[in-house]
Amino acid sequence: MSDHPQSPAVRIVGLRKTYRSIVAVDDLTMTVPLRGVHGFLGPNGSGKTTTIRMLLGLMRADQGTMELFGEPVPGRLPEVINRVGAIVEQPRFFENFSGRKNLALLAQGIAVPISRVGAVLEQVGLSDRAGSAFGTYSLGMKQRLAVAATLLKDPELLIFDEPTNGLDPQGIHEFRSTMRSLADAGRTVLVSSHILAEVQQIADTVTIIGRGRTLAEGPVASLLAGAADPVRVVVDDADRAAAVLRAAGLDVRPHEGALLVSRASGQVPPAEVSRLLGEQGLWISELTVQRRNLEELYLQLTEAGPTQQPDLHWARPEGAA
Amino acid sequence: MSNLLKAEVNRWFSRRLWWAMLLAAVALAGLSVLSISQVYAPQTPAEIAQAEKDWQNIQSSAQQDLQECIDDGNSAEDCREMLPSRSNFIRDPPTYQTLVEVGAQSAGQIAQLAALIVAASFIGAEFKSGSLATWLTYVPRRVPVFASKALVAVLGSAVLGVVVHALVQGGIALLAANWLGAAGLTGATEGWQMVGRTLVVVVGSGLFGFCLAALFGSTIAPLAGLLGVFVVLMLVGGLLQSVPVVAWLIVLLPDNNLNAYIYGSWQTSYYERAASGSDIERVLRIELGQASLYLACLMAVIVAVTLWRFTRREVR
Repeated sequence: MSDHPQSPAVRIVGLRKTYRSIVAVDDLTMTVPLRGVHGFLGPNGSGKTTTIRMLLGLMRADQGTMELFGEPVPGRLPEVINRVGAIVEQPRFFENFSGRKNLALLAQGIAVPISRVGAVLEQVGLSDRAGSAFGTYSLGMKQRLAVAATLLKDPELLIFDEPTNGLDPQGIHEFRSTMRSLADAGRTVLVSSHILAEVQQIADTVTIIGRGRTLAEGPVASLLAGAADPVRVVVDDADRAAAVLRAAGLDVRPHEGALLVSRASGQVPPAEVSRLLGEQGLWISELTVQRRNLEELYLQLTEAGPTQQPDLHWARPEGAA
Repeated sequence: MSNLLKAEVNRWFSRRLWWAMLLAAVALAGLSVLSISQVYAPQTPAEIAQAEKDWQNIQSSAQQDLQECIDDGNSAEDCREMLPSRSNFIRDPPTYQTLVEVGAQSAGQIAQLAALIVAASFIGAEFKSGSLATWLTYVPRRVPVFASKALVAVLGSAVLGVVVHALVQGGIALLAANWLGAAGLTGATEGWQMVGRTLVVVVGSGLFGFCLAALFGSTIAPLAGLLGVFVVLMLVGGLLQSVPVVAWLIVLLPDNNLNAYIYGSWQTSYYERAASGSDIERVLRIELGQASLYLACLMAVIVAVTLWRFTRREVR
């Protein structure tokens, strides 16, 4: 068990990485609490994979501190690596060796009994094709073999970097179920993805980054509850309706043939919108409260920048500057 | 470390390329013995009689050639050197020592090339497939990871070298027993020393190939680069020999030291213009001890640089 029982699974503070003149990661801060699924979200090229590589000692950071279970890494990575299983980007094994052979080599290298190889292959449903060359596997099978490889060590923390890239809908569904069940079994799952809505379905907590910087972090529910949801309204005379609502002190913006109505000071009751328009003889054909998702939150954050979003539950981990 | 070694040994001997190169090396070793049996086979009595006849036949024309050569203003000594000798027609039977040395040279070249390719591919495949990144997420201590891989490259190369040398020397022992009789299989101490040294070179080749591939992160690039280096060394060697002031630098070229190590010593000469205007031949010689020290230092530097690069490398 951990020498630091109160420590989160991962803590990153002020991380920076540059490639010549390109800043890949800039003052990034992230805390992954113990247990549950933590989404590490951001668009392609935002620095997620670079961060994971630095965390696993595959790359060197220019600045910042990183911890796994309270142990500073990469300095003490060898001491905690057996508690971590990771797939960075695509699963990468020897193409000509079978799935079983690839896992057997890993097991041999870390002194895990060979009998465990069969068990983890069974666990991911790959026993039937275990003797086939890795190069002949479909992407879904490769992902499953990679999950089996991470389970060899029976790790407390699993890190999956863009695990659903290239998977078909069935594969994506299966992978989501796998991640959820691993978390439900008491493990911590850190999953990076550029598809925010996908991770929202399984993540308990998230860190959202953009251009290498942390934009927001915290429990998904808190982040999404932090600001009022706009009311979406469809009326025939949209221009007049917008004028009426603005005159009542509401913020209105057109969006895909409808109007999104909000108020800086809090939630707009749909009934209020209905009443204001009805009083002016403007009859509504659609009225819904638009529940926000992480994607919209991300777009909102990147439009304004984190420090300009006090209502969005902007959270910085303890110890962060 | 022992777990890493076991895993790497397992991987080395599970690779298709290893078995393919071993088979190719064995086939080449067989061809090499066949070739030696053709080139060094003692002449039969009938062949000797015919050769004697041929030698006698050219004597009169040789005397005429000698006279013409002298008439052209050359010294009699130089002209005699240009004439064919009796040994060009009637060869002495080979000694076991000669055969062992020829076999060592031949087996050494085959095994060196095979070891270089297999060892380079052993680490190059890890970069190509990206499995090195996977491996390092299990074993992040890079020095033991490097050491285990390098050690297995050395051991694997040694196995390859021993197999090829054993096959070639076995074939040569059979040939020698047939040609010279069982009593002829003696007196090859220096030949066996050469076999030992070529085995060391095979192991060094494997380690060198491994280091090049680890440095460049691929198998093909270093092998192509190596070819380029050989061409450059040939050019540099030729240039140095033609400029007397810097000709002594020839003894610092790696290929010459490698030859000195394999053959026990190596020498070359270059000409220097004396004050009198005549050319003086200067002999350069590399002794075994110097070559051993040179190659050991060179290898140590290459391994150290590769290890340094490997531990600092950003793995993608």
